[in-house]
Amino acid sequence: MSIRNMNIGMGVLDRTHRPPVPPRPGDTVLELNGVDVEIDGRRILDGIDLDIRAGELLSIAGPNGAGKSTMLNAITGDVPVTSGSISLFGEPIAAWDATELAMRRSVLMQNVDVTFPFSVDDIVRMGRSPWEGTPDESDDDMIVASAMAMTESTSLAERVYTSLSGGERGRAAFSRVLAQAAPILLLDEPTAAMDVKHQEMLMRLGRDYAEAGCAVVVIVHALDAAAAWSDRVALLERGRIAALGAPEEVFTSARLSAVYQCPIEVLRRDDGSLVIAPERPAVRRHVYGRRAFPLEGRANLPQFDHVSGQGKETR
Amino acid sequence: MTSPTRTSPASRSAARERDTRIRADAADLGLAARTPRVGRTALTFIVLAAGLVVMTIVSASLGQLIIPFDQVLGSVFNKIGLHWLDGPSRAFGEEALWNVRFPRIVMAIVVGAALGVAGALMQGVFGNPLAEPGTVGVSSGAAVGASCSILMGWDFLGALTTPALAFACGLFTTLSVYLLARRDGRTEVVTLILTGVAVNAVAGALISFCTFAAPTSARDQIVFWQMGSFNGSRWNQVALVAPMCVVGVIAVQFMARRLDLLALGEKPARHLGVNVERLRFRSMLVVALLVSSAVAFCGIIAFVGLVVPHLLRIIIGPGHRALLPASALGGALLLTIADFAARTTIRFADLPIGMLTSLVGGPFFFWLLRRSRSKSGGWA
Repeated sequence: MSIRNMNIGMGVLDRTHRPPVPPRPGDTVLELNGVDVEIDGRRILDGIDLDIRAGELLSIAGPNGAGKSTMLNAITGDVPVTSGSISLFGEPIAAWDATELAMRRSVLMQNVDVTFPFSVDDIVRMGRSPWEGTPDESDDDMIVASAMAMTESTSLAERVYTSLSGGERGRAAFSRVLAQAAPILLLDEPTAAMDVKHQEMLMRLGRDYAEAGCAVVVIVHALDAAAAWSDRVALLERGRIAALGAPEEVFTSARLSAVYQCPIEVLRRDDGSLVIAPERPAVRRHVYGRRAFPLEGRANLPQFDHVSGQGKETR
Repeated sequence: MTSPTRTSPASRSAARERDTRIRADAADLGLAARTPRVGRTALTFIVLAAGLVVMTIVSASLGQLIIPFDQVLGSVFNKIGLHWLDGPSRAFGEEALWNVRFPRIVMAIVVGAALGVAGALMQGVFGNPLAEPGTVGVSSGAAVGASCSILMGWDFLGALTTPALAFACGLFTTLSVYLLARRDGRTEVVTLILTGVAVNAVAGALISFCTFAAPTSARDQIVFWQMGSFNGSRWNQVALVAPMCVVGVIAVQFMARRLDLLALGEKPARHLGVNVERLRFRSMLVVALLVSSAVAFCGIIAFVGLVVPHLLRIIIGPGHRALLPASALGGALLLTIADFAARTTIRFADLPIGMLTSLVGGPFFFWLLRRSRSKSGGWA
């Protein structure tokens, strides 16, 4: 036992943490049974049943407010479930202490903000903290370096995290999560601030992680990416799972259009991959102010003579 | 467990090449790239420690009775059985050193270290650069205890009554602010700070009442207690305060790495295995202990806990493993200097040290505020 585990103030030693047993591919590592979550009397999740297996990448999609992040928060134990149960490696979340949970699942939240000016290297190294005092600790330097190399953030190592751009922060934070080397990876919109190249890089890494026998759960808004990289997708709608299964089955034009309340087209390429895009009207280019922007009230925008339809600017 | 990230079914030579590259990167990050900051940190520690030693000698040497540096050193060596230099040559030199100046200097060191560490701990544990022991009412609570004791003229513990009550009330106020801010087993930082504001207001009112109700001599005592002073520090007082401060300063070292993780925010820290509430509770306990014992004999000394950690964070970076001991040294150095100034600026007058630290600390903090606002990327 590391001396750092000493229980300051109480003078008692913490109990030892159970090290994780690597899951076998196909094992259910995370299970949600009839999970309801109510926050301030509002039902956010409604009877969620979901099992997540080692070796798969599961994407969670759905409109804003469908309960995606709440579901992830319930899985991490940050939001208490109103009813139902969530189990991790066959035991309820509450049966594990914080360090044991950290050895089993790593979490990337949206917008990780850092209070003090830590360098990227410091931040990634923080991912190793659950392993402090275990034999794995001796590989910290290698793991940290390779996690940064994978996300192409090695060159950022000495930069102060808070001085990075959104996409760079995303990569640094993702490196930290990789360095944690937990068999379950939970990612909440990891690609949000990234450019296309790094979005693809991140999903590719998630894929590699899953193919190595780990479980990856990722919340994504880019439906194409979800379709391309996932084993299964879960489509959430108003706190329920509207559909769960292979991307080709779940992502149909009719279902997506209904769930997002917006016409969405799903095309299938010759190789079977999906192209998913909202139906958009043809845009008339270079109209030069022939229509007013419909903001009501007195606004300091160009004014037009609507009645005559001349489109003549009056100011 | 092996890392699940070692995956790609690459060819053997490619894998070896990658491995070499990673090892090179690891070496870079582990050694080469970290050297500047390590060097800087070591230098900072050396400068602070050297400064503290020099200040101790200077402060012991100068005053109404001037004792040359070599005689100060000689006296110290004599005490530990080495007869390298001669002790004080003038009458009462030995007495002035060992009964007046050294207890006072040691008290300043101990209190400064306690306040510096407590400040760094508070800022770390709440991930908020504005947190300061005063925020959660340690100082004002202690002041209420001291004021009541002075007003009522209690002496059930003899000369220790006022310090003991100050200590107890400081501890009580801090823990009650913490417990009041806690709800459903969690504490919101903003709630905590606002609870502190409310409790500080009540404490302020109680102090005002004590000041109002007290007869003139007691009123003076109450007012001067709140301005802080190391005047009249004795070895027996040091013996009471020092052990608590030493224990506190050592205890926080074991929290350092987890405090770093809190900079990521509460939830990410929890995801990395930190029991955030437990860490907070223990930190508050240590802060209450450190600051209550620090202010018990010396009164309120503001701004040390706020300014010292900020300044050191700029120099050695935000990692708590270095920041906490550096804040202890920095706080000790700052208070030895401040106490020296309080003693010698005006002849035959002992300025209140709390007044001095606030006078210098206020504008300095303002400068820090401007500086960190102008930098993108928050607090340095």
